[in-house]
Amino acid sequence: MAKINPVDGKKLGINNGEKVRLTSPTGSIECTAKLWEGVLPGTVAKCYGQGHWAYGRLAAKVFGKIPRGGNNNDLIPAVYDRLSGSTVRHAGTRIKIEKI
Amino acid sequence: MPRYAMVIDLQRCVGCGACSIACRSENNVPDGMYWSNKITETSGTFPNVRYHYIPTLCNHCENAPCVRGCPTQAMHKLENGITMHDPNKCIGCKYCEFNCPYGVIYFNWRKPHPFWQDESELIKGGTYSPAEEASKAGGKVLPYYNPERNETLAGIRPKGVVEKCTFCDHLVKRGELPRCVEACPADARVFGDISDPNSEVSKLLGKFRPFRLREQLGTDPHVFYIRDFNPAHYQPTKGGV
Repeated sequence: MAKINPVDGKKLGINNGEKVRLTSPTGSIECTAKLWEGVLPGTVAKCYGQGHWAYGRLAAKVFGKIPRGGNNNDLIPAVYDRLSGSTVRHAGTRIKIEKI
Repeated sequence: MPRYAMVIDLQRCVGCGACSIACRSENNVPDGMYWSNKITETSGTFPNVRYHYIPTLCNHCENAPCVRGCPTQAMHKLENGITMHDPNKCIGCKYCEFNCPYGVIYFNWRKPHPFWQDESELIKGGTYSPAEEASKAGGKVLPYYNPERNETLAGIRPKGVVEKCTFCDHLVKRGELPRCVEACPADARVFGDISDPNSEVSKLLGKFRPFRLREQLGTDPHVFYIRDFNPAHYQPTKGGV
């Protein structure tokens, strides 16, 4: 679920609940758009937690094969923390939104 | 006898939902039912946006429409003011559900917790089925089954009866607070005896002007809301001519 300001939604012709493709320099995912006033125009907010393909019967659409939703990691460059080796989590990146 | 009531301080409530999670695990509430629930609203347009969050639960009305409409007295008032349900007397007519103006009564249309009764394994020989996991954990249907709920009400309500919030009467009976009150990290929920002028709820109701949901219907709800959260900021000004 990508949250988009209604101003941007109108500009891009995206309605509530429609499928969108988000593309960043590193990858592309498909998810559902939700128009919400709580997000700054010109930005998209998307929570982590979707796009699992092998995480139990509820998280994946078809276990081991088809994920449910899109994973933010596909959009964010692989940058690892120098000390902990963990990936960046609350990241921002440039993206393009397309209606599918 | 005390008359129990709850005061919810909307200034303190941050909308974290800990009350709802605590309720679910305390009362073995099935998916799709919300003994503890919320009303949310986003209003205005950017940058003047407001977000409202009101936690809701059974209002334990003094003049309860669900109790008045129940043909078998399955829905009844306890002496301490709690609106209680007896699944053994319930015939599943759902009059209470229709009469409740707050929509906090839920009907068991199906066998409860179907997920945890599923006996299929995701990976053959590799993972437990949900039913197996529940039994290995020692629970009854649910792996996180709380047996204490069974003291005053069916631990898991069967198909064909209604269910709703009981102010955790099984905990109140032995002098403990309802689980949602206990779990609130912001102390936004205050529980107590409204007939005692020295109780915390009475003091708060005297100090702040409370409102109740759909008060005009005359149901006399015993869940009160005080204050409001307003994060909006404006430059101090004296106006002008």
